[in-house]
Amino acid sequence: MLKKITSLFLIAAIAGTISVGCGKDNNASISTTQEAAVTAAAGGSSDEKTNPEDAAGEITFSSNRTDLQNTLLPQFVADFNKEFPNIKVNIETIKDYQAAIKVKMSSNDLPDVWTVHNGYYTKDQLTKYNIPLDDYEFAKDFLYSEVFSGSDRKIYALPQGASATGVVYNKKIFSELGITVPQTLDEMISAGKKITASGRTGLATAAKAGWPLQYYWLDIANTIAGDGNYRNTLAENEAPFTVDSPMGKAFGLLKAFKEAGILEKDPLSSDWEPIKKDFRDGKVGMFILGPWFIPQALDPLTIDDVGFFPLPYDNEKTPKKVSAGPDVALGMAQNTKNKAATEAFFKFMMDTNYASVGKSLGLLTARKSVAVDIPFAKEFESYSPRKLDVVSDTKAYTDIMNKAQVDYNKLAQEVLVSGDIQKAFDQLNTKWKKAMGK
Amino acid sequence: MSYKTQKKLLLISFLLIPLLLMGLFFLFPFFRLFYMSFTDWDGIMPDYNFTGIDNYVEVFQTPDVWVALRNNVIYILNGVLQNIIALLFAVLLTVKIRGRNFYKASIFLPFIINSAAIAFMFTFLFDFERGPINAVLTSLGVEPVGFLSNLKIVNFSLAGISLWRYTGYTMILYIAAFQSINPEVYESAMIDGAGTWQNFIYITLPGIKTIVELNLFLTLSGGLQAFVEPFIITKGGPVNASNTFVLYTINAFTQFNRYGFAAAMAVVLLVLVLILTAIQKKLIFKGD
Repeated sequence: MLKKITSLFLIAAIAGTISVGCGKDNNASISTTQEAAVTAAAGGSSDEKTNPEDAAGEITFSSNRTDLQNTLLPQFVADFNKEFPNIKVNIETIKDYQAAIKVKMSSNDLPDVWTVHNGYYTKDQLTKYNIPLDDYEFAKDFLYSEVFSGSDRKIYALPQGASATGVVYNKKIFSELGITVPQTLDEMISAGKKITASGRTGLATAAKAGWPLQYYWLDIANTIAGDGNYRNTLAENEAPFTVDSPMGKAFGLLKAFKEAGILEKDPLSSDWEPIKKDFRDGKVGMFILGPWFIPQALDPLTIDDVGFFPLPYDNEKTPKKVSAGPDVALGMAQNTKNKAATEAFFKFMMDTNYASVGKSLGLLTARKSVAVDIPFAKEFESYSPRKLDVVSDTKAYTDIMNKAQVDYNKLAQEVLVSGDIQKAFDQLNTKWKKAMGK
Repeated sequence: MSYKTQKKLLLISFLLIPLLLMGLFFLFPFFRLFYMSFTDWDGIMPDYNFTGIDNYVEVFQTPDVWVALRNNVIYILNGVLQNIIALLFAVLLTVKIRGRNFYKASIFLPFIINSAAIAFMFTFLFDFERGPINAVLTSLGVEPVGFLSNLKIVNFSLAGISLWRYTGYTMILYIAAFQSINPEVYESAMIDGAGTWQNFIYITLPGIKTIVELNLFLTLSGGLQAFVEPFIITKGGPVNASNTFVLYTINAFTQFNRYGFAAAMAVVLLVLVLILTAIQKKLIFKGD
């Protein structure tokens, strides 16, 4: 019997190792990060001193864009190496990116230059692990940099571009079926019906992947509320989720699309990569996303076949509000072993080569003085959307979110399954109240 | 130095390194996990507070955790089915039939395929619009099935994958157990006039009792720890329909920065496995 108990403990211990492995050298990392913080603070303003000839060595650049591993990213590095031939940049793309980065953070092993997604890391984490950017001259030229500020209000990452939420559509399908760009919700639904009737998908959701549904609760809820700070106000209310609230209306849109039958045949089976391929092949009419999707939507479609318009979330014929905010950002890790090379690459991506990087990624400019020339941006502006700046999540809000373990994407999936928004919200309100209580 | 001291010294020096490694990689992390389960550590920042048993109280008060555990039950029941099928194959393939090694190999093969590859393969097979299974169903005039999108079906689809994958392994264990039974026992039983069925019930089953026990333990702990399939294929979705206990634990850390809570869940899982195994022993094998 004793033997069996020991063996059980061993098995348990093995199971334990898997989940504990990432945090076990926690104590060791305290001292090293503090040292790094000191050196970073001391050398923070030395950015003018970098000299192309001096900078040499090897750094790592990390991104979530696995699809660009062998295409655009090496091209950026090749361009960079023309100026800095002695720096070797290793490109690392990771599929489950944000989770992997958290593990790297805990082991103090962040890539030198890494992609920062808004909302995935706390302000404390950014302050602890990234180099503050306030002393770099070009950092002052950025819009939305406040979103990536740390708990000490310094800036820890800069956006590679700006994004806005709207509808990416296939112009070829629209002209083939004689559809004009919809200005009201009813027009959008009837456009969707026409496209669906032609044997294609009217409006794609990629609901299986989950994250493409984020636009409903993130940006559309904001625009319906007319307030970029809408989500943070949820933290003040014990039962903020009602069908009539902006969040409820945003999910109501999703429900209306589902009931009109303009989504995929079975949205919850629709995954990101397959539906993306369908869009390229001209089998999808519309997709609610940001402009960053357009470069991925090409071939065989050309840049002239794809358009971008603000989502008509109501039936008024007025210019629509759109949520505008930063796209992904880049930051430099404090634990870098080669600060000069890291700085050189960061500057190249964010300053000297900003416009060309932004253009190839399909991002609107997030800089005051640098323009990025992309055709669909002009079309989007022609509808004179009223831009609503996104505000970053407050600590009070993220604390409740984490405590209650709220996953809005799953909530959106539930709306697609049952269509019962009230029931989903009731459960959420209970969790919310409990999380606020502690 | 006497022979005895030499022997002891040799034993200690040989055991020292493996024991140290075990302590470092198994025991230390385990106790560390236990310790962290009483804190509100977010898994990254160096500072944390002690929260006592708050995490444990919360584990028991969160309904989603128990929904996830209910999904694990499907994996366990599926594991029982897996044992029955494996036993059947084992019996069939111990009989001298033509090409039995080929059959053995092909049933065992799924076990050695990388689990991520399996997951991607089944994502394709189960696909609603492009999947071959639905293509066959549609051509037969049957409505296509949402293997991964129907909330009531998704767990069975995923558990089915692990059934397909682990049957071979369980079968090999049974075959090995069969071969350990002395053939003379069968001979003498035959002389006494026992039939195939009696042979199986009175000689084979008691002979492989320890292996059945082992397999059921593996089924139970495997079922409770199931996560690879939902992790790669559905991410616990749609909604929370295919969430399992371990997947929920992982998400508590990766998605919601709650390492302490996740650690508490891991400890609860360990206790669950211990209790259920004890009950299983008492009920099915009447203890020994």
